[in-house]
Amino acid sequence: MRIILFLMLLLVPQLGLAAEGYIDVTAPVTRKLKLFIAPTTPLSGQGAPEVAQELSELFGFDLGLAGPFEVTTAAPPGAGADLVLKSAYAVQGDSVTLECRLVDQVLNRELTAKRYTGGPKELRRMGHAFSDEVLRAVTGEKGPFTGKIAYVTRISGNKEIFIMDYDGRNPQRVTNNGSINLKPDFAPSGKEIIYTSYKKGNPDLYRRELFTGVEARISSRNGLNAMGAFAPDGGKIALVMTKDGNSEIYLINKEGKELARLTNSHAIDVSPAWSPDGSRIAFVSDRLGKPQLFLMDAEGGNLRRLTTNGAYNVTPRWSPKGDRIVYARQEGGGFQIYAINPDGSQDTQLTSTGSNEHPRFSPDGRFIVFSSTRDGAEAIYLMRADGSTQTRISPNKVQNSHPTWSGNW
Amino acid sequence: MKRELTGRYPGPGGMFFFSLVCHLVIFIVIAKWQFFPEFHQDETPVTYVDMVTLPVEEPQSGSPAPEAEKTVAAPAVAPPAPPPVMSQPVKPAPAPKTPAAAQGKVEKPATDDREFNERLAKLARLAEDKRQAEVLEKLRKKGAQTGTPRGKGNEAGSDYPSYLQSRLKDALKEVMVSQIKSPQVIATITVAPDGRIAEYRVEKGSGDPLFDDAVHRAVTLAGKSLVPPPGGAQFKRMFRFRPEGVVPK
Repeated sequence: MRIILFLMLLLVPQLGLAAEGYIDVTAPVTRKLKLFIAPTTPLSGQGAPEVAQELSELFGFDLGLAGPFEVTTAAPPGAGADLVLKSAYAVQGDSVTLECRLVDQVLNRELTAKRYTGGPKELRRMGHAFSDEVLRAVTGEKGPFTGKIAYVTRISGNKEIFIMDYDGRNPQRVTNNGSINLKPDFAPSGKEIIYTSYKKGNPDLYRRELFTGVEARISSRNGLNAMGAFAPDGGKIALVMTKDGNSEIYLINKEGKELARLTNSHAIDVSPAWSPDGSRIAFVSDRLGKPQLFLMDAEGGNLRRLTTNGAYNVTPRWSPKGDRIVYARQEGGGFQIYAINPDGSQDTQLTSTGSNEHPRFSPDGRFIVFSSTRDGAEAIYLMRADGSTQTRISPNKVQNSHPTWSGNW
Repeated sequence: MKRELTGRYPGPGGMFFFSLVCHLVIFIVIAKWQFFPEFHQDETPVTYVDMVTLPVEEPQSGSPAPEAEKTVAAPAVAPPAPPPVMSQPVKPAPAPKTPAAAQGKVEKPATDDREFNERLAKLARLAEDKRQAEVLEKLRKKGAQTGTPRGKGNEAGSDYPSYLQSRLKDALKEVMVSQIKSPQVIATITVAPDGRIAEYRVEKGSGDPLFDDAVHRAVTLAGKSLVPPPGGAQFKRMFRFRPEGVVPK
């Protein structure tokens, strides 16, 4: 034993030398990047103060919400700011040009610079596009700010589907049939949506091209045709049908042809949600008594239970990176939003005020959009994926729900 | 039977086995009675010394003041009493005399005393100088071994790696930001003889551009106020940057 110890002691300094290749430098992570948004200036000629004001507010809202930045519009450049966002515009007739630059003050280098040209109505879109670009330059991942949010609103009494900018601006009508329209879901391209409508009496599934308005009824089997979810490849749709007497999850193609039945149980199986790689599907089933989240392969096999806490867990959605699944759990008289790892670990509560439902990730996974009754009528909110900075974005005071965030648009 | 066994040569295999058993028995006996020599790691006493703040020339500690300083001493102030030298024999003070008798006769002995005391003080200062020079030389050698080569001990950073680590840490605190749980950047930093960052090369990034850029900013910030490496040499070393309290995988 002593000999072994002696030999080990001889080896220890050698191992120590091998590990001593570098010097450690550590510091606490308590800080955000200080981003100074410089006043927007006219490129030439007379300025339009309302344009400058709108852009300044837009950049402040987008990048303040993003997370990595501590945004300021008051401090002069050089007063401790790490980054400076400079923007300038020119209005010539019906054309607006916007030039934006992001400068790293410490490294003294320009991180990105873009010029956008379009009509006056495109000004906010240009601003959001540069906010996306700022996040890409700083974090390596493009922002979600140019994406659109589709949602269900009761603005005209019945339930219609609208889309709006991610910040609640620029709402646009998608359906206008005076019936009940539910559960919109964007195709991965962002150019199509599917939704369930009662406009012909039966809850059927429709697919609509947003730019042309062309619409097709892709599933009108007897009973329920609802909760459609585009697969990540955009070619398949998982949906819930009751044509065989029980609520089951099926797979159809974009044209509505049935490809497979994924669940087969006496229980109610609803709310399919694809993993980002398209290999697995999360769904809700009460096969063990109460509604809980389950996972299965995209072919319907390899079933396993995901949630074990809470008596009533519904509406799962996978994060774009595949590392988290967000869902709603019934607590007290309402619902709260939780997020869990696909292996069942780190089940974390994200909301606590009011009743909060229908959570969906933004296309970059940075945010979660959801509906909440915390201010009275159900409205749309968004928060960061860790539950912080919960912000109302509903454009009006009527009931808005079932939000879903598109990718590129 | 017994005679047959003792008289028979067991062959090489048997002898080997016999030898093995004998060695094993001896080993067990030694191990059992703890006859193995105790192992003592030869520990060199470690002395931590901040080379930057060492008092190199401090008149109070015995070093002679520069000539210019000696001449500008304020005349109104009495010269300081020589420091007591405990190890040197001190001449006994003369017995006190009456003021009348002392008027004309005490002048010469008083001068002798002052000269004697000054000589003693000078000797003491010389001894102290010599002792301090020896200590400094020892420390310089030690610093040169553990820190950077050719360190003299009187410029900033004979322990230059620690100095640079401290500067980088302060800078990283100012700019630290990350979006993943346990990022780490391993980078080689070269400091030119004039104290500026000559090269910053990332050996292994963290995969988080936010953290990678934060480290780059920290190096840039630290590089603005670096003291040159000791001995007028270039300094090159590898550093690992990471958030505090996070152990990278």
